[in-house]
Parts: sequence; structure tokens; C-alpha cells
Amino acid sequence: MNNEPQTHGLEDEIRSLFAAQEPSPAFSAQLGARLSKLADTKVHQSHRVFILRPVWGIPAALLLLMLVVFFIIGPKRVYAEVRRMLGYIPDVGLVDSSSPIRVLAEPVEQTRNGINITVRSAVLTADRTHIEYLVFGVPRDAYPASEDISGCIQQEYLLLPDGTRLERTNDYPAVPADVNEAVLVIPCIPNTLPGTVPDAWSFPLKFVPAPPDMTVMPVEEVVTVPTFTPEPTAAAEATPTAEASKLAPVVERVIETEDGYVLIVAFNLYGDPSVWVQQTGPVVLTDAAGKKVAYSIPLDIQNSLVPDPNGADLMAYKFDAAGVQFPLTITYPGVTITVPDPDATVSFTFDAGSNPQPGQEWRLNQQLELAGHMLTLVSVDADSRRGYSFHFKADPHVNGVQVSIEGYTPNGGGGGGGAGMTNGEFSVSLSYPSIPAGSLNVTLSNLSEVSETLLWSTMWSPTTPRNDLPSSSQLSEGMCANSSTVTGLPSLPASFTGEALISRFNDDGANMLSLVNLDGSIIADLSTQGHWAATSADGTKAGYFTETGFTVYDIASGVKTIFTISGYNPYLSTRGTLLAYIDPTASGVYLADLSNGTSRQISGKAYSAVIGWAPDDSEVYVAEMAAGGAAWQIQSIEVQSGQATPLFLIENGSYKALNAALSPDGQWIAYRSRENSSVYLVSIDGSQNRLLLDSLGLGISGITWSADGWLAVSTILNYSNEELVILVNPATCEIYQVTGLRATIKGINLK
Amino acid sequence: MENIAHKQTICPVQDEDEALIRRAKRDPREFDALYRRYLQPVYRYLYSRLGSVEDAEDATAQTFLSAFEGFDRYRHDGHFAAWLFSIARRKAADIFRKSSMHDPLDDTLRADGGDMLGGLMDQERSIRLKALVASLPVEEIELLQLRFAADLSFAEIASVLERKEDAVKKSLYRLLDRLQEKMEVSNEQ
Repeated sequence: MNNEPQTHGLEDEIRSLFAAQEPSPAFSAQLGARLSKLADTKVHQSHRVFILRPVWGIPAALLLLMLVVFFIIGPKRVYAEVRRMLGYIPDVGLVDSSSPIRVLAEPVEQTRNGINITVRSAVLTADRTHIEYLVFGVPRDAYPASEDISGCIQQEYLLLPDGTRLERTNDYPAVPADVNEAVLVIPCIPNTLPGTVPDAWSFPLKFVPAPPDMTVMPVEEVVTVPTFTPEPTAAAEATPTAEASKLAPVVERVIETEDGYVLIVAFNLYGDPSVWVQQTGPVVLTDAAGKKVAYSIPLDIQNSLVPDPNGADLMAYKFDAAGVQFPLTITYPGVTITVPDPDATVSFTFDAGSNPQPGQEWRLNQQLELAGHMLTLVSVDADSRRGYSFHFKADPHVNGVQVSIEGYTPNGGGGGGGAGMTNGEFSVSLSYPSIPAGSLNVTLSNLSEVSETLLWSTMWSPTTPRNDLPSSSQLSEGMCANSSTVTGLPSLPASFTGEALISRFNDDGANMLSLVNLDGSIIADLSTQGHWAATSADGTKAGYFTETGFTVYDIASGVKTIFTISGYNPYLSTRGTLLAYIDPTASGVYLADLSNGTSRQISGKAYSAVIGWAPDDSEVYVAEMAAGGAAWQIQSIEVQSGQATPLFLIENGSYKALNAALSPDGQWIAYRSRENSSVYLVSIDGSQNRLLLDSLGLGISGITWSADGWLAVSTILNYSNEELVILVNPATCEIYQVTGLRATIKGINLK
Repeated sequence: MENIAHKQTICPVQDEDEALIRRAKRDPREFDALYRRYLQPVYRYLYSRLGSVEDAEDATAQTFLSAFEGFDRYRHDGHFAAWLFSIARRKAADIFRKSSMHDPLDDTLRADGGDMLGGLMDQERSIRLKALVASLPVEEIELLQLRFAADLSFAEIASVLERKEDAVKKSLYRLLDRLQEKMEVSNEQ
């Protein structure tokens, strides 16, 4: 059972941690004025006579048609009709596929003053326009150096031939079907300073019918008769209520993918006003053999779901169907919450004193009876939001109570029921314009009870059995581990020896950079600040940034040498004599010669990450992140001349941090996937891109190579921050878990 | 059984929002009241995400401009804050994609990078807490930011993160529990 923690002091400390900054009055006023001006314009426009311009004729006619249909067949059926028109385009999401889909005729590219912008793709559907463009080559000094200066924030827009501007929110609105040209106007490169880089970019775009082989997966409507199956878990005492039985999840739509399915499931927790249901755990998919089926939530689909008109929660679940025995059961765990006696109240007096202070606590342990339950008001504390938190303990069937202070109207609040997960412990917080003081009359009411855990489930089977899937879960070609195999990987044999540089969470709660043996035994604790660290490919040195500079640790002798340079993302050259890193205060990629302590800039481009060195130390490899879209350009930079050579684009890498690492032989790059939990491998010429490790937990935290071509990867397994280190030979798929290392891997040296 | 829907946690903030939203729907100039109400939490949240004044101002401006532009499409479902912070979250992601090469959630709180907290973090306990928070997975840091920087309710956080309210609550309690435990252990050393 998970109890609500007694962490109120800690909560205030965390609040302080995040409350260090307020918007400046100048900024607040400026933005307020801008919004006011927009509002005035909007009001003015709304007073104009509404005259349809020709380009809106078609959408307006469609709208009119929809309205007519709406009134003839009713809103729910209209919703159903709209849903039937849906298709799924990977990376775009669910789209209205009722009209012919159009795409960009060809990429449009412009280069001005070394800055390249390429409009790479567009997908035009009846409901929206999705445009992808990439910006490369912006120098770091085009961005503000001082934090009190803002760069450009003008939004790009689509300009139609008749002058209509389509403003972007997530995507652009739909371009009318008879309009096959538009201009993408980018007033300025986001966040750059005026005059530093070219502005007023215009890209004439032409749209053509989508090619016949474009992937638009059909979205199948599912006609399901809900089966009401709430049942108590374990040997529960509670019997499911009739009211609870009126609710059931429903599989509404299905998308057949290459490897399995995406199910879109609706569950209306609020579908029955007579019962209050709370979900208390993650949804579980189970196959007919009782095996749990791993799933992910595809964000492109999830983010494009049209809200259910009845208020049901809609979730998309994607799973591989190889080896899954149908029917599949989709189960929601939850509880029902009821108020047994809405009229019951209990009051007491609480003396807060004349001048209550944030953090002040009153230990009361006062017994109160309400609606047939005994409650203990354990304590009250004053918080930093000019209010009080009341902490209660009751029997596990009590969910929560409502608290009010006579004569005071709160302006905020929170807390409440524990939904059966807190063993009867719960808190109620109330905040006020000014904190109530003195003797306070407090009333408790609306005690709510929580049921035992109930399970709501539905079953689903494919309409037509598939014969294109393997009978059991298998690793696809080139893949060395996936979510099914990762926990069963063999342990690293004792024949493997060497050292690893890891960032670990020690027993004191501090992050520690440590040099360890492969069994986890510590060779040396190096720093509590070393989040940015690396080893040299020859295994002789470890290096890391701290507040005092960059420290080189000689592994054999234990001697530390500190260089007074600051930065992050360090990569030691093969022999550990040179250091490539990012200087956040200056600009771009820097190179330090560790033999004499000098450093110089080798690239002024913003937002680059160092990924490794050529085997002969003649070139540094970097990944430059594109603005305006998620892609990384891999480049080599000659150490002597600073000459940069673009190599290829990585387009399926992480939005957050690519964590890319070049192999010591300079032939391969391993990097983190878009959803952060997988690792891809690609040849240095951009070919042979393959998924090496698929969906290993919540996220890949470290990727590094050994000198002899083994790849060490650390992954975060769960929200308890438990990590697992894997050692894999990409050439042979020989793979092990390094059980002694439960940490973020920074470097590895095998002997 | 009696209808208990109206007896769920009372939230005067939500009621007040509803009134402001109704006024702003009638007259766009009234959006200013929503702006003034949410400027500080939105800015705090974005600053905690992005770690710089310039990015936070940029994202805050974009959030309110987008919210204003899209206000007509806002469904009157009682979750204005969740809707607004969903926009803020996307704007933070946009800015991050455009302007950073490493994880902002990691770095705004990194023990070796945090001038944003300079001056506040001079106490030993605060430094430990800062390091602890900085070492958390990005998802957990964001949970703390939404709760304690943005001051959102569990229901609102659930809506922003597209998770279930109870799952959010459970995650946060477990996280606080863990942080508390770590802080206590280090206090005992």
C-alpha cells in the first residue's frame, strides 16, 4: 500500500526551489499590451459584416453540409461519420482521409549567409496541414547572450494566393482543396537577435496528390457491445455495485500495423453520474493465455485524437501481436467512491494563534466521528500559500472529507481523497487571500468512502486472423534485444574484466561519478559533480567537468590534473591528449590541448553535440540539431583547419538528447531513438541504419563504446530510477547485462 | 444512490476561472484577466523547464499568444489550466528543439549548472535537495515542476500529461516519499 508521504516541509522546499524567478514587469507589461492589441483587433474584426471569400467556399459548404447532417441524424452519429473518415499517417497522426491527401511536390531549400532552411515535407488533409522544415547553420552568437534580452518570437505562417494567412498552432489549418500553392513565411529564425542572421524567409510551396504508395493506414471502426465486468480483486469483500456495472471500456478503433495493432480505447469514468470512479493503476493488456502484453502509447496518434463528445478518456495502445493469443483483455483497475451521508458534518475549534507562520505545525491527534467513521486529525500546518493543510488518518474505507473554515472563503486548494491507495491517510489543503488567524471554527463534511479495487475490462479480437505474423515474439533482423528479452539477458561472464566510469546515486542521495570494476566494486569516487564525463578510447584516462574546471584522471596512477575550462559534453581523443567539448558561455564546439592547456573554437554553430573522434584524432565528429524539426546533421570537423563536412541526417533520433557515440574505429554511430528508449546504429556514411536495442525501459541514459568495439548502454528501467547496463557486440549480437553496474554509463574499458 | 458529482473536491479556483472564461468568450479583451491570473505560474513553470529568462519569456509569450488565438477552440470543460499548460509544455518542447542540444530538464537543475538557483541554495540541505531533484528522471522532474512551480492540481497535471489522476498522485507521493527518505538518510550521516 502506498501511503501519502508526510512530506509537507519538503514540498515547501521544492516549491521554493522552483519559485526563484518571477517575470519582469517590463516583460509582463509588453506581453499584456500585445494581447490587448490582438484583442482589440479581434473585436474590431468581429464587428465586420461576415462575407465569405472564395477560398472559404468549399470549407464553408462542407461545414454547412455537416450542420445539415448534424440536425438530421444527430450529433453522435455525425461524430461517428467523422471518425469513419480517419486514416493514420505515421509521424502525422490520425487525419481526415475523406478527401484526397496532398503532399509537397518537392523539398524547397534556401541558403543565405551560411544558414540553410529546407522545407522537407508537407501533408495536406481535409482537416489540417502538417509541414516539416529544418534549419541548420545558425551561429551561436545569433542568440542572446544575456538572459534579459529576448530573441525573435514571430510565428511562421502559410500565405495563400488570395492573401489568406494560416497561422500555426500545432499544425496549420487545412489548405482548401482547390489551392495547390502557398508560401511558407518565416519572419525570422526563432529566438535570434535582430540583424544577426537573415530574416524574412519565404518558401513557395507546391502541393500535389499524395503518391499511391504513401502509408495511410485504415482506421477500422469497432462495433462493440460493452461487457460490464467490474469485479473485486483478490478475495475482496465488496460486491460490485449495480451503478459500477454501467461503465465499461470500449475498443472504438483499430489500426493494423506491420507488427501488430493500435487499439483506441474509450473509457468514460464519468459515464454514470450516480457513481464516481477513479482509475488506480495502469491499464493491463492480457492475452488469452494469461500473458501480459507489452504496449506503448503512440504519441502521434494520442495527440491527434478528437475528444470524445461524451467525455470519455481516449487512449491509444500499440502492441506487437506476434505470439499473442486472442482475445485480448484490456483491463482498467479502479475504485468507486461514494458519499454515504451527504448531510453529516462535524465541527471543531482550532486555535491558530494571532500570527500563524508558514511552516508552523500543530500536532492535534484529535478524534472526530463523521458519517459512521472515526477520523484522527493528526496535524495542521500553515503553508506558504497563505493557508492550511489538514492531515487525517482514518480506516482504509475512508477516501476523504471536505474541510471549510467558517467565515473564510478559500481561493485555492488541493488534496483530498487517497482513492484507496493511502490506507486511510489523506490531506486537505486550503489557501486564502490572507491566512485565517485566531480561533477558527472548522467543519468537516461530505465524507466519502472508497470501494475495494475493481477491474473494468473488455475483450477484443481481430476481425480477420493474420497469417503474416510469427507465432512467437522474435527479434527482428539486426536487433540484439527488446523489451521481451532484456530482463532475461545472461549476466556478463567473469572472463570480462575492465573498468567503467559511471554516474551513480549513492546512499547519501548524492550523484557520484565513480570509476568501478565491472562487478561494481569501486576503484575511485571521483566527484559529486561529474555529470559530464568520458574516458579516452585507449582506456588510460577519465575526464569530467566540475565547477572548478575539467579534471583529467590518470587511471593507472590516480593522478588528477585540473584545467580551468568550463563546458559540457566532453570527448577525450583516442589517446586522451585532446578534448572536444561545448562551451556554453562562448559559442559552439571547442578543442582543448591537454598537453599545454590551451583551447580554441573549432565550430561556431549553435546546438551541436560532440559525438567522438576519428581514430587518428584528425577529426572531431559532431551532431548539429536542426531548429524547426527533429533531425540531427552529422558532421566531421578537421582539427587543424576547422573545415566542417556535412555527412548525413539522423531523422529518427531523440528530440531531447541524441546521446550519440562514434565507435573507436570511426565506422559506426550509436544513438538514442525518438522515443528515447531504443538505440539505433548507423554507418558513418549514413547507410545500414538499424534498430539495435528496442524499447528497453523508460529511457536510455548512456551510450559508450569500448576500444574493441563493444557497446555499453545504460537504461532507466522504471520510475524508481533503477538502471541496467547492457554490453553488446553489435557485429555478432553477443549481449550481456552487467549486473554489478546499476548506474548511468559514461565510459568503459575492457581488458 | 445520490448524485455525488458536485461533492467532489471543491475548487474555488476553477469556479473563478469559469467566470473569467465566460467573460473572455464574450469579449476577447477580457482575456487579459486570464493572462494576469496565469502569467506567474506559466512563467515559473517554463523557467523551471528552460532554465533561462530569455527562453522562459519566449515560451511564455508564445503560450499566451497561442492560447489567445486558440481560445475559441477551447472546450469549456473546466480544465482551463490544464489546457493552458498543455500549450506551455508544447512551447517548451518547441523552444528546446530549436535551441538546445541536451535535455533542459536535466540541466536546469544540474548541480553543476544551476545559477538559476544561486542565492537561494546556500543552505546545505537545499543544495542536497537540488542535487537530488537534478538526479531524477526527466518525467519526475516535470511532475514536480507542474505541481510546485505551476501549482496545478492532480487532475490538471493528469490532463496535461495525459495520464490518469490517480497515477499522477501515486507517482508524486512515491517520489516525495523517496526524496524525503533520501533527505532524512543524508541528515543522519
